[in-house]
Amino acid sequence: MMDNSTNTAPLVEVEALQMHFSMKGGAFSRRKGVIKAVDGVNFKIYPNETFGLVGESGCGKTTVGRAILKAIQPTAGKVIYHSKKGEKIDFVTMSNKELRPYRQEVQMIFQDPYSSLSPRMTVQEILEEPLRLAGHTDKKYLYDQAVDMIQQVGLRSSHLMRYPHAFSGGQRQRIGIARALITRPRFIVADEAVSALDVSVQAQILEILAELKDKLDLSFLFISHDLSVVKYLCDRVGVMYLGRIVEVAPTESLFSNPLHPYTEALMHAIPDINEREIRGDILAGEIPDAANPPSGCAFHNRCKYAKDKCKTDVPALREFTDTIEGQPILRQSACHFVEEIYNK
Amino acid sequence: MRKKLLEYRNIAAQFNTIEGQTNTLNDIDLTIYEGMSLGIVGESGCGKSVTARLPIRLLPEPMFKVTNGDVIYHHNGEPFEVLKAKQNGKEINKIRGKEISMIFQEPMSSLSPIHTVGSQMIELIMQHTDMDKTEAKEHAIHMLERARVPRARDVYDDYTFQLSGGMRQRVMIAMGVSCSPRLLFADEPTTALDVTIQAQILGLIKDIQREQNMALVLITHDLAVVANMVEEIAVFYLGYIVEQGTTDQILKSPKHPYTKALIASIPTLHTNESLKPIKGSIPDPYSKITGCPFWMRCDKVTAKCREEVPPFVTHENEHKVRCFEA
Repeated sequence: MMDNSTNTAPLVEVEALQMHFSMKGGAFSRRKGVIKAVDGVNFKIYPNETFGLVGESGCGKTTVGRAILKAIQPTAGKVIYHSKKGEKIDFVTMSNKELRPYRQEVQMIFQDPYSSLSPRMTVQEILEEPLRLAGHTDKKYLYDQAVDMIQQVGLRSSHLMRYPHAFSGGQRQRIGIARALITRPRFIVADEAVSALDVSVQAQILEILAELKDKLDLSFLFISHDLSVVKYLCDRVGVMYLGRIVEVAPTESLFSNPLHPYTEALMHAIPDINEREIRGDILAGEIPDAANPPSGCAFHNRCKYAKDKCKTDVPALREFTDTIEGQPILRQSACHFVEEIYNK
Repeated sequence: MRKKLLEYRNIAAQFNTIEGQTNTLNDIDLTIYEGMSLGIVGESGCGKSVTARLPIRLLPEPMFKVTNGDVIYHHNGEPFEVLKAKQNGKEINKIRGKEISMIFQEPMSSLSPIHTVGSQMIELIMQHTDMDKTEAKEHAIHMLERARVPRARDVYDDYTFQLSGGMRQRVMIAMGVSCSPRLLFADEPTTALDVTIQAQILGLIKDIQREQNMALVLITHDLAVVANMVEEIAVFYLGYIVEQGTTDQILKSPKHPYTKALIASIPTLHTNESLKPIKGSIPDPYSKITGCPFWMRCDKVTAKCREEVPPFVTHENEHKVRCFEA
């Protein structure tokens, strides 16, 4: 497990990241206002760490991933990246041109292996393209890299000549991974990378990601709605609800001992193969409309512990220490009543 | 003695498309009893959704063709041969939506976007009952309330696109059970939903099943979803039922290598065991496979498995397995 407390410098630092979308009232829209998709998100990812970001639909997890890679321009905040050469740069303030040299170092793996690969390019062309964009032209080098990468993800060099339609979903996702890794990145954003796959294939892809992470010394931001998958793959996990992070903790302590009522409810809702009775107290209500979030703590209207303070005051993400096997670990929770509810 | 409600007798079925022919269902032998709950579990292309659509004839004929076997629906003690009836004839229409009902994965594509929730519901209710419009409306609102739709009277006048995903699924459930069906097929009813909403919807389906004493067939790719919902499970692979038994038999002491592998390949919250992926991937549906459908991914494969399809053998306590080695 990653030591997240001291010594090591982080690889990526997300500070007060904010992504607000304004809604313009068009002919068919009755609503005007601002959707705070991401509203002040902070976390750090350390070298060779897999940081999981979980939450239900509309919580902003995908927007965080896209804003970090500048697929969309965040409205405020910083994304500090510690580059290979040792520079400390902020992606948010850089232009696309300034960013280009660093694009090789940060890559993305997409959810849908069907729409994320061009049907008109062979696998070889798909794999070589990121290197071409990075300025490589030597054909022998490009080919060698493609062969090496396709083998790393468990396919064969004879597959390079084929087009994506000749592959199954799991194989396509391997190609997507190979394309992301071919520029030897240090940091990968994987957004629901195994969600579209059948369970028997999903396990294969999870194994490949875990194996390549150590072999190639990668760091991941692993975005998923599936807590079981996150538990399997991630070192630390951040839980999002309505645009904010409500809890961050090392995976083991998060799952054995959640410190936020939402995390607790989320884990309670997951079906378990060993249970035969329907559970009683399932979290009621739905995720509120992001255009019209509840006051105070956004979770208060669904929270079984909610008190008056929760309706008015927005809770800050506070730090707590826990111990795992005698080692102190740092964790964070954004609940007013952590001390009372969880005896901290 | 349990009373039979729906029987699949040695069904074999194909899709004939421009790209070729698929053996979609092979030797499906399955009986659904009154009031029982059955889980049909399998990955994509295993034939689970086709199995659900067959008894209400929702499949595109003649592209879809049953080449062998019968489907028998026991209607007031009289066996009715579903496949002999006309696809959209009177006899099927009496059963579809009334006696056998279905809820789908995508509520948005199975509900009409241009009719209000209420008008869709009373159309169905008035077709299958003697109620007049006022009675049908009250019944529809009552059903929405039972599906725990808040402000049911307002939602009755809403269009489906105005509702959230979870709320649409509640409307589908209210509609699906509004004519008190004897059998409800729920095809991946929670796959498109978030986990907290999924838990609510599953609890709701279970409650309604108990209250109405209807049979439930829950179709899913997720073994954990059926674990606390059904009494029996049938595991499908490539158009075959490979294993069938009680929920405990399947999840605690599986006999078929595919079921075992499937359970071992799911990451779970409550254990720390490492994953054991199944090698390879699900074969292309157009490929012709001889022998056991699972042999190329199986660890225990023998020469016999490559040549012969194993029979569906009943072991002790009605535990059925399609494997030579089990």
